[in-house]
Amino acid sequence: MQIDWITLVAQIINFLILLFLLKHFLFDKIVSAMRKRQERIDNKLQDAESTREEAEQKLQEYQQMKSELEKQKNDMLKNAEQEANKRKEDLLDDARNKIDQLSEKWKSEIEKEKEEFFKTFRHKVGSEIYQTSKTVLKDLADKKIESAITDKFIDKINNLSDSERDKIQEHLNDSDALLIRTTYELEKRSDLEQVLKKQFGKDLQLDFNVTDDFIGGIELVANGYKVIWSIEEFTQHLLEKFNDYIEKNE
Amino acid sequence: MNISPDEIILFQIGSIAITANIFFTWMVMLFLVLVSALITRKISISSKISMWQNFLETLISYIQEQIRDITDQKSDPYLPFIGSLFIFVSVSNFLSFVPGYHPPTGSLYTTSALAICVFFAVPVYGIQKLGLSEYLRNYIKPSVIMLPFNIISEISRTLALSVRLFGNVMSGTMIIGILLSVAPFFLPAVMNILELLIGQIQAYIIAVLSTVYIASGTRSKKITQEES
Repeated sequence: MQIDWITLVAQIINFLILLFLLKHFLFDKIVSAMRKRQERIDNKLQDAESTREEAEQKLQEYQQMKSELEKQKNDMLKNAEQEANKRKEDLLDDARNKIDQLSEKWKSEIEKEKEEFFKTFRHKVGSEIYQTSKTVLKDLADKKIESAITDKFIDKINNLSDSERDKIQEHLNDSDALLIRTTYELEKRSDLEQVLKKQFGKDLQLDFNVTDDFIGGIELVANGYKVIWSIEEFTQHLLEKFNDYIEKNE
Repeated sequence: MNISPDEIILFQIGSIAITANIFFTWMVMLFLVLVSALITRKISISSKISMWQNFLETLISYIQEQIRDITDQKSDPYLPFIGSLFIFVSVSNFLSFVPGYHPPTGSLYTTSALAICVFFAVPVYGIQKLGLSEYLRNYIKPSVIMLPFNIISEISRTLALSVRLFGNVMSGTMIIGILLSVAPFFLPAVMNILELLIGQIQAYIIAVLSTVYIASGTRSKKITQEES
């Protein structure tokens, strides 16, 4: 068999030409296109990744902001609640104070009224007792109650204890005028004067005075110090009992 | 009956006779280059690509993958050579259904030319990759005694490569020729289909074997150790 070298070499050259042409027209172009596409995809993926990261960061920021806002909101609510509670307490305290004040005022008013009532009552009772005593004394002993009171008072002055006398004397030293106040016109003035001068000295200055500050009685005033006999002392006792009774039944 | 495309002389240019082998080789080359140029003229790097570009990209990625699998190296330097070899043989065999066409791969000259190209490609790639001395040292491994055997194996595998491809393609043509005389109606058509399949398998085999030879030339012990 004869070898056709021309064909062999021609085929080798043909293949080399084909190799060159295909490399130029096919492989280089396709491979570079594929590579570029790959790069583009990689870039896009990278972009997407960075965008995602950015978005995640943003999300975190927003979540943080949200939680901060939430916290602020809670704080504000808490503060508001505390303030409201405080305000409520203040208002309640205020109201309580006002109520206390009112009740205090009310109580004092009641007390005042009570006192007023007792004063009036005492006066009324006193004068009733006085009138009754006057009538009883007149009917039974044919004696004037006024002279009976004067006698009683003279008796009281005569029987003054030493300490009482000293006290009156002490007060007299400051001003020598002794005031005798009666609720009626004094008939036995000279008897009383005699007794007083006998007790406190002959130079004693005496003033006489008729008053209706108290009921049925006679009073000795030595510069503020008092010695008194009055129907009211009895009514006082009566009233105390009455008061006790009321308080018990309240 | 002519079974070798070298025996068919189509026309004469001066004193050189243009055989069917040469002519159809040119035709295949022209076809390949034209198709490639047409497809890659409007090449797109976006995600929207034409059907043909998609086809070529799939084909090339497949070849790249195969090269990577066999060589354990980057496919880029080997792609044009192996790719051209595969595409040329594949298309040459595929076009055999065209009436009047004689596959150039059915000629021992063509397959020998391809085998010679592989024969020279092995040292070219080897020296490019390893350097001359390291490449030549491969011939005396594991010892100097192996030198003649290494050289014989280098030559014999080139021979085997060319004869394998030639034999397979020529046998197909021959079988069809024989069957035509025995059972002229349907069997040759079936055999033709089988022939198309065998042609593609041969294209795959020659490409894979070339890759294996080139890979064995570009691998030294040092590199294998480094790679493993």
